[in-house]
Amino acid sequence: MSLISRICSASNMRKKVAGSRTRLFRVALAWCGDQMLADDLVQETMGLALQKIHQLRDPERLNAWLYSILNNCWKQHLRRYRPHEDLDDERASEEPGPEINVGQMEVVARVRCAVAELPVEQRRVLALVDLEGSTYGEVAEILEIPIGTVMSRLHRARKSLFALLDNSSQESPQQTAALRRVK
Amino acid sequence: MKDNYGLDELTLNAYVDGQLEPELERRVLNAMDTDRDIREQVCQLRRAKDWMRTGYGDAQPTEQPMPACKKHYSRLQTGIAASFMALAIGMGGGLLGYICAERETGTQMAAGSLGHENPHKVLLHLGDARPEHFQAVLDYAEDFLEEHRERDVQVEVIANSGGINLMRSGGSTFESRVRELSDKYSNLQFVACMNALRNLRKEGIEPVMINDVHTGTTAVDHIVKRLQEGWTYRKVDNLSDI
Repeated sequence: MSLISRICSASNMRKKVAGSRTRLFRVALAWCGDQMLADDLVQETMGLALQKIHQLRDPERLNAWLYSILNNCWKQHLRRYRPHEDLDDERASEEPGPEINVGQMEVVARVRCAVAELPVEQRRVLALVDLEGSTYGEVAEILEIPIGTVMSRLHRARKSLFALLDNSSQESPQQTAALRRVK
Repeated sequence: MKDNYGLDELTLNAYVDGQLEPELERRVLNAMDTDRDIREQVCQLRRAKDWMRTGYGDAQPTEQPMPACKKHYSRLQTGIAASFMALAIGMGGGLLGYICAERETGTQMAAGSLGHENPHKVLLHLGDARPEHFQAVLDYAEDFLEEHRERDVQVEVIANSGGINLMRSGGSTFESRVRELSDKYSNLQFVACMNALRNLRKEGIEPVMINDVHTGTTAVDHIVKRLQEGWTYRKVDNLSDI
C-alpha cells in the first residue's frame, strides 16, 4: 500500500472511530446503566482503539472490533469496582422487580430500569442485538461465547424484559416473579 | 420447548432479529398465519425490541474531545506529519518552478532559460474553450515543431475544463487541423483531461474526442508528471503567454 493510501486509510479510520461514539455510548449505557460511566467507558474504548488501530486488518470489521474493546473495558471495570457481582445468568430474580416502583415513570426511564434489572450477561447480548443490530455471529465473536449461548441469553433477556415492562404484569407483581423464575 | 410447528422460542427470537434462513423464515410466517400463540409470542418479542430502541435510541454521550493517541498511533501521526512536510516541500518546489516558468514569454519558454527545463519538451495547457487560444496553441506548436524538425523535440497539448470541447469530435472547428497536425508530426500529442470528460458525462453528455486525442489521465497528474520529467510547461490563459 502506498504511503498516501496508508495516510488516507488511517485518517479515514480515525474519523470512523470518532463517528462511532454515540452508538458505543448507547450500548455502554444499556450495559452499565450509568451515563457518566458509559461516557468513561466509551472514551476509554476510543482511546484504546486509536492506539491499536494498526492491529485492525479488516476495516469492514471496525464495529465488531470496537465493541470487543468496549466489552473488555466494561469487564475490567466490573472486576475493579464490583468484584463480587455475580456475572452469571443465574442472578436471583425473586426480589421485587422495578414494576412495583416505576409505574408512573416515562417509558424511557422504565425501560432503563428494567434493563438494569437484567443480569449483566443478558444486558450485553440484548444491547448488541437490539441497539447495534449485530448478528448473532458478531455478538458471539465480540463477547467470545458460543452462538447458542447468545440465543439463549437473548431469549431470557427479552422474556424478562417483557415480564417487567408489560402493562398487564404491573397489575400482578407476583405473577411477574413467577414468570421470571421460569428461566 | 417446541410448538406444533416445530418452532421453539429461540427460533422465534431469531425470526424477529432477521437471523433465519429463508426456508425457516417461511415456516414461521406460515405458522403465524394459523397459530395465534405464535403470533402473540412474535408480537411480544418485537415489543421487547422496540422497548430497547425507545429506551436508548435517543441517548447522547457527553461531548468530549477525541482521546489523545499514544504509542503506535503517535508514530503514525509523526509519519503522517513528516509525509505532509515532504509533500509540502515538494509542492512548494513545484509551484516555484511553475511560477518561474510562468514569467517566461513567447518562444523563450521553449528555449528553456531555466536550467532544469528541457527546452525540447514542451507541454501546453489549455483550460478554457476560447477558440483563439486553441488557435494560438496550435500555431505555436506547429511553428515550434517545424523550426526544430531536425531535433528530437516533443510537444504535448493538454486540455481540461472547457478546453476539452475544442478537442471533441464533431463539435470542434479545429478537428481537421488537429488531425492534420497529428498526422504530420508524430512528436505532437493531444491529451484531454479525464476528470473534465467525467464531468461532461455527469451532465449527460457523452463526449466523443477526436481520434488523435488521448484521454487516459487527468490534467493535474499529467502536468505533475511532465514537470517531474523536466518538461517546459506553459499554461495558455491568454495570448500574451504564447
